[in-house]
Amino acid sequence: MSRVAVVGWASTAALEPDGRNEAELLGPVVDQALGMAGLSGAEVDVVCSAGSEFLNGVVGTVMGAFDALPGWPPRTHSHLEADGAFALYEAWIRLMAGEGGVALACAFGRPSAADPAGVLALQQDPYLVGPLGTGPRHLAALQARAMIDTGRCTERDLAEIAAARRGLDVAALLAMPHVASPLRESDCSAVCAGAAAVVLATEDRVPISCERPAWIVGIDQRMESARIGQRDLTVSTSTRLAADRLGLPGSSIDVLEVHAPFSHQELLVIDALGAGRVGSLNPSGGVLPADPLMASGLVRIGAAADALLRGGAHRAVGHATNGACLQHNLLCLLEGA
Amino acid sequence: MTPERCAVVGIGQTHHASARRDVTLGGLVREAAERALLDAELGWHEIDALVLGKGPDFMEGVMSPELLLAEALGAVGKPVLRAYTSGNAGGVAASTGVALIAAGQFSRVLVVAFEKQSEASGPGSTLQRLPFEAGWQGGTGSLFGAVCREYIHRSGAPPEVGDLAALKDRRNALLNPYAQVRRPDITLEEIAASRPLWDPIRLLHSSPSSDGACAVVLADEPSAARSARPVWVQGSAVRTEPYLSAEHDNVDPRAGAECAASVYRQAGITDPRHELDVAELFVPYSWFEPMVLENVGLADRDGGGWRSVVAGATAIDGALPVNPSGGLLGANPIGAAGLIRFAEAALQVRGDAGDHQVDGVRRALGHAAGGYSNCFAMWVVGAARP
Repeated sequence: MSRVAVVGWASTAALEPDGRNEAELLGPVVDQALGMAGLSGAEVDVVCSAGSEFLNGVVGTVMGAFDALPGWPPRTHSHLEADGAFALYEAWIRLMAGEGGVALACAFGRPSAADPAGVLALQQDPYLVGPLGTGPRHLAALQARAMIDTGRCTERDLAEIAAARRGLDVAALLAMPHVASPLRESDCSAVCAGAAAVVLATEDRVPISCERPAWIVGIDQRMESARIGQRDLTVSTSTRLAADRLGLPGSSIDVLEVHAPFSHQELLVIDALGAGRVGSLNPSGGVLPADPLMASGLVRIGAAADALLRGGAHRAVGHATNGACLQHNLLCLLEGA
Repeated sequence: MTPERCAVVGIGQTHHASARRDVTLGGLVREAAERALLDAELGWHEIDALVLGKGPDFMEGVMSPELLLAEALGAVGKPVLRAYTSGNAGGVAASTGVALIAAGQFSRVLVVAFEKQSEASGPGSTLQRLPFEAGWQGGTGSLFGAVCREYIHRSGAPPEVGDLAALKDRRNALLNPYAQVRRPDITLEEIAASRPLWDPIRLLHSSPSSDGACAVVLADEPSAARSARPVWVQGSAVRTEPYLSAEHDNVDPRAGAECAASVYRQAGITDPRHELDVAELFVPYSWFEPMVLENVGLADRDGGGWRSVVAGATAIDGALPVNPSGGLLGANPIGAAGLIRFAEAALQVRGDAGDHQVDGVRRALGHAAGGYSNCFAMWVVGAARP
């Protein structure tokens, strides 16, 4: 199989709804990512996109995104309803399967049509759990409480993570009220609109202008049960499985980007990775200050690759998640030349 | 390096119905998946990765259902990918499964696709109803009516073509134990006199609203060697074009033609009309059969499609049988419908299609379409290893 590298990427986040539609969010980042790679839209063989029609409030939003994507003449394009990191996984697979030499993985989220927490509650069992209206914060709070009960962390530990990611004061955060005990607003990601695009190329199609391609050593992703009561919420079993497959436990990582929509989940992911050394954790700032739903995980992989593309790091890992309480996790291991 | 070879080693589908009130979403997908595993003589633990295909999440009101269905699909601890794109979801799911094998990542992949339209309103959940859009309230059918009208205008097809294609599929559906719509006494006159919906589409030209699921087990060459009757994937492709592009032709979309050309090229087919023995095509309204035949190179572009229908060439005993299963007119669980076409093509190659088996099938085409005639997935499967 041909080796595949990240050769360009871009992202945008808009903390307040600014009226841009899917194509308007996606267009600039697709152009920027291709520009960074030194490639034109015509050279893209495979497009894998991701988003959520529920969050956007319109069926067929993928159709609306076509205006921003290289699409004529026709090409291989598949779309999935999940975080864009899973679209990147599919793009990597399709390149290794011989379906092309250049792929664009992209994602967009415009969660302004309705209350995102209410929409995300629709991921739960529609027969027994959904009617209760349990949103991501309620379930994450149960998870954080379970971690505190086992002694893995304290509320102060969570506040320290939130303070570090948001550039705020720990004592000030601890003085704030809970939104879903033991979580405070600062422990929950700031949901916003946004888009991201990552350009992949096989070894023979990496542009000469790309001096330091970020080679994908491996991507692994694993699923867990949706039944919260059947999981040990204090460990991320699926992240550990993926980390084992990539040989991460005990290893040295220069840059780690974690997709943790709640502060305690950063601890869970780091525990599960079991890396021997992490040089820089979330240099992008992580998702607490800005969480463009469905693009956030792809941003983490882009940001991890960025450290290699710009030089200065050799080994980077991007993590992405989907579902409540880290149900579905993906790890992407990247290395410089 | 060349991609790994991929074979279909297990096939299963549900009994489709307008409302499967006896099962939950999990029960529905599991019914198809268990049949495919039984057929493959494999256990859940022998599956390395899964792909779940289905149409818009609005159809059931569950967001990213691969999360909810993780346990029902035996996916806990395994890699899972969702395939959507549009109505071609089932076909895209198969294509993703083939890629997972071809990339050398996995030995056995379970591909499942479903739709449970009775959970919500199908037509209602396909209406975009954008804030700035006129309230035309048509749903997909109104668009497709206009497309059929344009085909008639271009090709000079006589009015009875839609009736003849519908009669053929409805009679074939009677031979398929999984089909939902069964009208044993159906006549041409009844179809021609059925209620007009969107000119020229009549009620009995149309596919039903369905609950149903389909599953296939895909395997790499070493795993397929342990299978009694592997069916080889000789070509697999996905092609899409923007539906608002000025170049987009709803009647003869370039993406459909190029998707077909790609799978024929991969399979080493130069004369698809003679080298394919049967085709399962995505025909949600009978008028689409002649259109698709021309688009995928199985009939001449000057009306060869409707002449094939009138001549009976696409009948189950014709020169190139199309939809011996009854196609979408037998059942249309949207997200599964594409995978059912792919699975039926494989069943034909294996000689296991029962009463709707076509004699001597060595190679078959499975076709899935979606969006506004702008999203396609296809595969060619055959008895010969590529």
